Amino acid sequence: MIGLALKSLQSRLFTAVLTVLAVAMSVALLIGVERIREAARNGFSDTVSGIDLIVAARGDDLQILLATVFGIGSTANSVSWETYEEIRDLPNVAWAVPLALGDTHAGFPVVGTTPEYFDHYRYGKGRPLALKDGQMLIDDTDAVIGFEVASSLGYQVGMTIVNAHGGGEIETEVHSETPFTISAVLERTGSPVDRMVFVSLEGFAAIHSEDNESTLDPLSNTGLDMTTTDVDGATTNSMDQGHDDHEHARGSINAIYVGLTAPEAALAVQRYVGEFQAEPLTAAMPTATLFRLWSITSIAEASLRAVSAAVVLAGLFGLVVMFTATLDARRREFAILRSIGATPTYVAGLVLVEAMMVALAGILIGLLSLAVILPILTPVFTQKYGLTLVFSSLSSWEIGIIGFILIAALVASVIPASRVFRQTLSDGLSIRL
Amino acid sequence: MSILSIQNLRFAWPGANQSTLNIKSFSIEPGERVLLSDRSGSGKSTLLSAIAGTIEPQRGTLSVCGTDLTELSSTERDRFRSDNIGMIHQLFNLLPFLNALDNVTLPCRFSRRRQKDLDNPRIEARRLLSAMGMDGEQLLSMPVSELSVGQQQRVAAARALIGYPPIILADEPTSALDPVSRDAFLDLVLAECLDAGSTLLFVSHDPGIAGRFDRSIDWMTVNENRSV
Ligand SMILES: Nc1ncnc2c1ncn2[C@@H]1O[C@H](COP(=O)(O)OP(=O)(O)OP(=O)(O)O)[C@@H](O)[C@H]1O
Ligand SMILES: [Mg+2]
Repeated sequence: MIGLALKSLQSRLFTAVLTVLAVAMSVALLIGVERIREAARNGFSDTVSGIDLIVAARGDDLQILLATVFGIGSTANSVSWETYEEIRDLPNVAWAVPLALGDTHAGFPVVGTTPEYFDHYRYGKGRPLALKDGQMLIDDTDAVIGFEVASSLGYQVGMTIVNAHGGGEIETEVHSETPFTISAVLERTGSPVDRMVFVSLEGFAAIHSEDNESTLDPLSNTGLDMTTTDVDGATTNSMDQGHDDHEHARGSINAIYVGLTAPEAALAVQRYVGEFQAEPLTAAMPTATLFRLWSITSIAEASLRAVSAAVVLAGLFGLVVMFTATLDARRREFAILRSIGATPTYVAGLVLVEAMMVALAGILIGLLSLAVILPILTPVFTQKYGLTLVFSSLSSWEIGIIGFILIAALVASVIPASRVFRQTLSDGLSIRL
Repeated sequence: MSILSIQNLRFAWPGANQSTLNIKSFSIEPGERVLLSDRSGSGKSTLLSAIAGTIEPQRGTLSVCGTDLTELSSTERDRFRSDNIGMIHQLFNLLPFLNALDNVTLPCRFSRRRQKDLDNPRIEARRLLSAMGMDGEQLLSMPVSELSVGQQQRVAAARALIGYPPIILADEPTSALDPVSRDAFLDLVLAECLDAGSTLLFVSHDPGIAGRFDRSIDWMTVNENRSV
């Protein structure tokens, strides 16, 4: 039966190949999208994999995570140096790295921190940060920049840059008095670190110590902040919420990355921080917080899935069209088979087997082309987005999709196959002019 | 007992106001080789379809090899046909995408009886084809749609003969053959029938071949309804 179905398909090679390709494309797209989605999630989780807790002024976990790890938005308030020291010295805390946040340089977040940051931050599958060029942060006026900062601004080790104060796209204040010298450029990580500028806590504080002296009138400035003059006052005002009261005094920080001696201690430390006496604090668990992020992004993911599901439907529709369109031309083929003894069930089975073969071939070719294309795309994705696309085993959802395609192909071919039963033999045996 | 026996048979094509077949009584004895001839459109092909069970008569009985076809379900008729009847269609009805050998051996797939009686259908197919002058690997392995009309007709004949069916129905199988091929063809068909003890019902307009059959029947004398 399979041999016969194959030869029959072969005689309609062109339409058959087109249909197989339609199915293959929809399978490849569907699973490809799924893989990228998965890789994105894994990329996010990897980014926070080295951090057990993030301590910041009392606020929303998600907001803290976005502000610290991803450099998006800001934390509510600052945390005192004494608090940092107290948390660092807790028995279950292995390490604690202070972070000062809230500045940008040419749109890239500036982070004030200590050299331990580079020791403890992990990306990818637990990889530490590596230097592409230069030496780690030594002096107050040194800056270590992420790969993307360097490449998009054309910065190199030894260059002197000037920092702007305030979060957001537009630089409202230029601190021309506090230049930084680039001491190192980091290797590409594919994590938010690529987009960050790191300075020492003292350097970070120095940006702001001048704020008291300089008059903050954007229009009076020249040079870099010419962009601001194009923007009306409302935009400028909205920037202010990013850096409340300019309270970046030396020794004042915004968040603390905490590594624990044992992961089991997380809840205890979290509770301790939550009940902290000196000031209201929140300890966010990065991995748990990410799940909240997923619940937000899942709407976008669902629409992505819906689009690829629509493509699968289009592919299946092509299958139905092919089988229905060729059925009229094949009445004679079916009648001949029946006249030499094939039962209607056999002939209908032939149609179903054919549909299965087309669907299976489509699925196989789709998966194979993914297996070929993903490894080619992986370097690009890793470089650009730090995502690692893996084409290992299929997830149960993907197996479900493949099963659905097979069943749908079967159902689609039942319509043409059932017509075999309604045709009388003599219908097909004489040639209709 | 007659191998084919028809009593009071009536058949009309759907939508036709006259019946195409109206037969009081007609029978053929086992092993008989019968020639049937008449004018075009008189219902000869229709009669063969009825005997093969691809159409259902509205009235009467039609028994083949002792089985009344009018009492069988369509699936039973399919099985009966594949086991007992070898038919050469006027329009050949070959599967265009299969080669000659595959077309000839196709009925053996569907008939358990033919499978049982043949050790190797392909060897038998080669024997039948080469007896009709069709030799050569290339000829046998290309799709039948690329064969000449006369070659296709011989493939259709070999397909009907394979597996020694008790009844061979031939609907103008020599219409596309030259006299030499026609004689070779007749030789084979008649010899095969003799060999297997098959009964042959042969429709032809060819006046030159009547002498080679046991009986020659003018269809006009059998079918009472004249639609033409
Ligand atoms: N599939 C069909 N559907 C409807 N009517 C048909 C069909 N086949 C044949 N007929 C009608 O039945 C009548 C007999 O046709 P049939 O093919 O049996 O003639 P025939 O004797 O075999 O002619 P020929 O010698 O030309 O082959 C014709 O009048 C034709 O119109
Ligand atoms: Mg005819």
